[in-house]
Amino acid sequence: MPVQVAPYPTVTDALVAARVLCNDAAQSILGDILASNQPFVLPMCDLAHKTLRKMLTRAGVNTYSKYGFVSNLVKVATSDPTVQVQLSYTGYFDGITERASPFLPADLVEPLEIWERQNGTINSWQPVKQASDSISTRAQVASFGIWDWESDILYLPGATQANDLKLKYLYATPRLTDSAQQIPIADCEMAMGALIAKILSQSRGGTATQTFQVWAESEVGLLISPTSRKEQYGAYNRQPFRGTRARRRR
Amino acid sequence: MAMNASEGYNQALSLFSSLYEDMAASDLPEGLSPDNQDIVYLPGSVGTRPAFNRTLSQPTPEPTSDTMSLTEFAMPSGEFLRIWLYSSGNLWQQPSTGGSPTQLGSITVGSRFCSVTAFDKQWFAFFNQNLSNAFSQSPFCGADVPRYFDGQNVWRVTQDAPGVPPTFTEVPTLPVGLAQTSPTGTLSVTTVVSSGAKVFTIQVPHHTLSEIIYTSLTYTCTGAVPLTWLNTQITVTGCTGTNSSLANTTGMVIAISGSTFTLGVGTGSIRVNLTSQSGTATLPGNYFTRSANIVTAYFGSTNLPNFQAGLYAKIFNLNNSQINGPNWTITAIARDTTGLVTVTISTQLTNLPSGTLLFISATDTTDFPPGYHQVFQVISATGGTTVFTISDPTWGNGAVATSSGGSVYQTWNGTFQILSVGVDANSNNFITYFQLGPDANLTSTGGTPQAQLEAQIPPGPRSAVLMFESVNGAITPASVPIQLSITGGPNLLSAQDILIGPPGTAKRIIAFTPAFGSSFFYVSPAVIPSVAGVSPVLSLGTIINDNTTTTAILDFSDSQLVAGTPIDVQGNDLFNQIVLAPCLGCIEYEGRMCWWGEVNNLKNLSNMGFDGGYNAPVGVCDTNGTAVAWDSGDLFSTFAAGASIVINNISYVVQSVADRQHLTLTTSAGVQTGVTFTLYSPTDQPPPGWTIPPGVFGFATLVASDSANLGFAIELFGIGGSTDGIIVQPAVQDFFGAPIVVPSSSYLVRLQAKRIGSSTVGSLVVDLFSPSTGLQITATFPRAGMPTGSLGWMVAPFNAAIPSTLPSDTLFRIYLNGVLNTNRVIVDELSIIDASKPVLFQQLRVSYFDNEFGYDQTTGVIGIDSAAKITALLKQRSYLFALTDGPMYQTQNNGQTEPNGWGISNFADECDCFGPNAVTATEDIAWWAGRSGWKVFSGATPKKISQEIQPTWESINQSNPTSIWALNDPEERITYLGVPRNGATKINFILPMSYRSVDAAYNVPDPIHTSYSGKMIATDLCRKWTRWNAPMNCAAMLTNPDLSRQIYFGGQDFGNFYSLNPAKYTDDDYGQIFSFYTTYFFFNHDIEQNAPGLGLHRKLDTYLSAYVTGVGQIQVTPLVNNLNNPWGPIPTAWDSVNQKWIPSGSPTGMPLVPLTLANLLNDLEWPLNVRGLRVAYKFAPVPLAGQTDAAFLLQHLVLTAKQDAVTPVRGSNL
Repeated sequence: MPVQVAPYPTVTDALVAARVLCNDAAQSILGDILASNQPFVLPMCDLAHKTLRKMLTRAGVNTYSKYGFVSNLVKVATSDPTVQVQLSYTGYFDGITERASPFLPADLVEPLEIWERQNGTINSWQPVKQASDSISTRAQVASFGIWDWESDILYLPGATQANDLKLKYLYATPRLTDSAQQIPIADCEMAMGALIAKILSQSRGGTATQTFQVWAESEVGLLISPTSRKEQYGAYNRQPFRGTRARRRR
Repeated sequence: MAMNASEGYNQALSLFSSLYEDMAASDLPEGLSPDNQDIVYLPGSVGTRPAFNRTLSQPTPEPTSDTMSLTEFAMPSGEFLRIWLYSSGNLWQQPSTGGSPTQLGSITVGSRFCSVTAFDKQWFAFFNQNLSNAFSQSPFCGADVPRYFDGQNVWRVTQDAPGVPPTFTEVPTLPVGLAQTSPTGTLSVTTVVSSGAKVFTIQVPHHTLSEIIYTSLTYTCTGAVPLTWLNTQITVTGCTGTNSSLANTTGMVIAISGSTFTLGVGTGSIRVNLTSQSGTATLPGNYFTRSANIVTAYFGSTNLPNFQAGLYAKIFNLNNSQINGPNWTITAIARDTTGLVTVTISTQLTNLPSGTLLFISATDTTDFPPGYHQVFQVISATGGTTVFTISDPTWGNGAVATSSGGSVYQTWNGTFQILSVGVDANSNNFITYFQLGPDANLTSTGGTPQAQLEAQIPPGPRSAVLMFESVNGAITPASVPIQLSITGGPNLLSAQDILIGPPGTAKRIIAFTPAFGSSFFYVSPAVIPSVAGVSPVLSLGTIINDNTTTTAILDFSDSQLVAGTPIDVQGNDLFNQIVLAPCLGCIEYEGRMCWWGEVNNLKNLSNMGFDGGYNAPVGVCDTNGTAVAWDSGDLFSTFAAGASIVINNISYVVQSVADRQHLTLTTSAGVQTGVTFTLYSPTDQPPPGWTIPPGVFGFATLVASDSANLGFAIELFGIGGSTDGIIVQPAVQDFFGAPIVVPSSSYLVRLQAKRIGSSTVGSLVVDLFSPSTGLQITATFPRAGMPTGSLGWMVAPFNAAIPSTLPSDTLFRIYLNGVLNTNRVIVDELSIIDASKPVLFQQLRVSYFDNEFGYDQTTGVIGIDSAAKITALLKQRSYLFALTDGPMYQTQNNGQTEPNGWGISNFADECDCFGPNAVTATEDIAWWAGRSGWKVFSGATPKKISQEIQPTWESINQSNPTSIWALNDPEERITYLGVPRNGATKINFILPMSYRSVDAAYNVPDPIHTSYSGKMIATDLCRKWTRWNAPMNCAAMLTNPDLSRQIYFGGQDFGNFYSLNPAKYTDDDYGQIFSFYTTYFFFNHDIEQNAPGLGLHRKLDTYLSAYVTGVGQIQVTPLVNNLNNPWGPIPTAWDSVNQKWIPSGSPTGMPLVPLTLANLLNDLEWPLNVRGLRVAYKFAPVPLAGQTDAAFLLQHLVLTAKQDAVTPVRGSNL
């Protein structure tokens, strides 16, 4: 009985595609140059995956965002209104003290949207606005209200109560380290295969590199088409200049 | 990616050359093959080898045996016989024209032979490493008795000397009285008429002359003429009247009819028609008659003991008076001025020959003193007178003289050689001899005529020896001599107890020294016919021309003897002649047979093969039907059943022997009493040359060996004692004083033995024993280890070395110890081998010139001064080359000396040979195989020509090197080499090397040569190696019924041998042929560098086309980068469980393409998708389903390839 799997291809699936494209499956679908035991194969897949992700991201495919939660950002430890608290990958700065927790999700690349509520409550989440430039000085209140992302640190104004944060963020995809590992992009075998083939051919001085590049772009184009069509059907509210970024309510 | 021939580089390949393993496959030039098998090369093409086609129809004589050796015997009759040896040891033959195979004999199981045709015979040296391992650390030695085949039987090449010489006695001769012939009588003749008229016509000018000649006279008598007168000489006298002298004549009665008889007048034919003559016809009864110089002497009914042609008889009167013929009256005698005397007598003599010795007693004794004179010339014998001349200047005073009166007569007595002995129609015993004289009858001798045999052999001491001569002229070594003291004269020499030789013996030869002489000669019987008035000469000879006679009268003069054949001279020294021990190989060279690898046994022991003959029992017996009872003489032999017995000169066959005095024949001999018998059975006697010590028990007797043509063996009977059946002979010195066993040496005993009887208790013992000191050194052969079927070879060492001082009475003994009663052991081919050097590895044994059976212990030896072991011989341009396991040696017949005087020198080093059959020489070129490789040799430097298959060579199992064979097929121009490879102990591969495209057999270029620019190039004009998977133990060039010649291979397991049949595609008995040919690795670097779009790295082969014909299907397999990497795509399947593509099943080759033998309209094509740095293509035929036929012929191919556009390099070593 087939196992229940996600619509994501595995690294092996991508490799099979690459072998076929490279004529490396002429003897066996397990490949020769692209055999799983070749030392460069998984890194090559990983690289191809990164490239594919970038290409997709560049094309606006949001496949790589997700939600996360950070709890108990304690109240600011000083009443100085100019002091900002900082949430980093390594801890939380309360204005006076560097605390080991809470900290940012490890796979967070960049926050897209942030919501807050008082710690320990079941209040609804209130949007926290992204600073268009920087966080200006204001009197300390119970909520953060505004955030800024600089140098991979989330800056918030000091709040007078402990709050929790809900984040939508671009996450760093996991590295492809195993041939059985799934690639979190549906139907990406051909794109991956073409990219792998392109990398392989390019690295070996093959004259087919450009062919594979074109092939890969074509496949990426095919991948982003559904997203484009989907967003064309969505409702968008144009924000004024320096306003908040266009986003949907969550 | 569509795979097609576009945008690629195309290369054609039409050179399919040699297997070449000694260079990295990837570096092989275009046209060579890194791997192939079971193929044959033709210029420009390569294909499956012809199939092995069985020769013998099924079932073969031995359907599960290996054919170990194979050869052909070109018989003198022009017929060709195929001879082969099975692993069972059985030797078979079949004519090339077919027919049922016939077994020729048996050799030891597992043996092979080295064979050669020479002297109208086929010679065999047998070797068997399993056997020789028992006494030799090296395999380069023989194992069984050398033999030859004469077209009828297989015989040993040499055999033992007769064990003992004959004994001799002198037989006194007695005078035998002559007697007048019977009948006698007188008849009155009333008329005589000429008869037998013949008319002769002569053509002369203008007319024809005719004349009547009468050839006989017919006499009419007064009474009936006795028929006994027919064919007798009679004399007619008393006739009167005209021409009565013609009627008064002596002649042979040629016809009788009633009262008439007819005399033949022969050449004295008459022209006168006699009529009405009368007279008296007398049949007088003659002592002697002479006609045409042959005298017949008559003895009536008296027996003539020992009288035989060739002996001499003295004719004399008992009172010693002369026997003179009739006196003839001298009517005239005259000497002329030249001294020639003319004598006229009044008698017309018939057939008076010149040279006749006459006593002339003329009246004129002054001018013609009486005396004997020889007739010089007969002037006339006609008209009742005879005129003859005497030319004797010493006669008388020599003065011219004329006289008349006196008489002439001839003396008849003297000593004459008997020309024949017989009995005439009237039962008159007679002898004939030669004496010049006129035809005459002697009815009176003036006394009592006698004849007495007179020996010619001069008196004095002399020696004699005995030899056997085989049906093929093989003369054995001489027996030990016996001394005689001859008195001669009236005593005839009689040889007694002449040994009967083993089967195959045709003659016995007795050689003598002259009186007081020391050199031995024998005389062959001969007849020198009479010519020009000279007596014929019969040479009685000293050869007994049969193998049955046990006594013989011998007579010769010493001048005859020394004019005979010497037997103790260089080139024919029968005292130094040896019995050839087992040898590794044989070859003919310059009229001599050469052998090598001879077992080093002691040569001067006596009768060690027990073939030194036997004494046939002789005696007197009575017969009653088939029952025979012994009377006197030698007792019957106990084990004589089946033997022949001659009773009263008639041969019978013994059916059974009840006891030593009674036997039964297979056919009736009637009722006879006191008749002589000779029983031809060797049993019940020890072998001659051995003795039975007194006071011992048990029993030893000669018996037939397993194979009749191997002569006799000895059978020892056990009775539970410690020395049962003992026989002994001296061990210290031979008859001539030469040492036998050498002090301080160690020896092995080798023999053939088998046990009879169920008990395994006890043993056969061979020992050296000194009665005086008690020294005893033994070699023991337990009965338990003996075979029970056929004789088997056994080896045992003496239990101690020979002491430094050997007692002079040391005996060599053989006996049974502890063998129970009724149990027996049969022993044959006993030999004592020098344990420190068991084989004469460095020695050739060469026969005497034109005597392929004679091998001299001293002069027949050529030795090399080396530790190398001779493995094979070859001859080339009058040179003889000895191949060893190291250097190569050269010798040559110097035409002046025996072989030991020929020089031998080291010719080349490190050119070893595996064994006697690992060399093949034809077209004046020799090839051989050895550890160092396959060599070709034309008389200059041996040249190794197998370097290109060195890896294969190194896989040869060299632990049984003598099994390796080589053969050149000069017609197909292929040399074949059979080898065991990869640990096999039996031949499992043939390595053929084709040189058919080469201009000369010797000039076989390397498959690779270097161009002017230094590049390696392969061509078609070179030697080409391959490998055949073929379990063939041997090979030979055999003649087909249509007289074509072809190579045949002796195979394993099916008892057959095989020819190559290109019209068959499956080997008989062995099944499918797994042939393939692998091309070189496309592409060579020159092409890679220069071809557009190909590059030096990875390529993508996209298309292949080839002209391939054959049977079955063709499987093309790309071999990527190396020979062990077949391009075999594995099918891909969807794994629905794990939701992925997976390889499914085994690698699959490229699609099979059906083959046809017909001409192809289009080349076969294969789309390719093969990537690799280099790719070789392997072509292998595959049979259709359910079939085994599979063959291909590849003539041309084209490959399309281009650089790998994706990954020109892999970037990885995985």
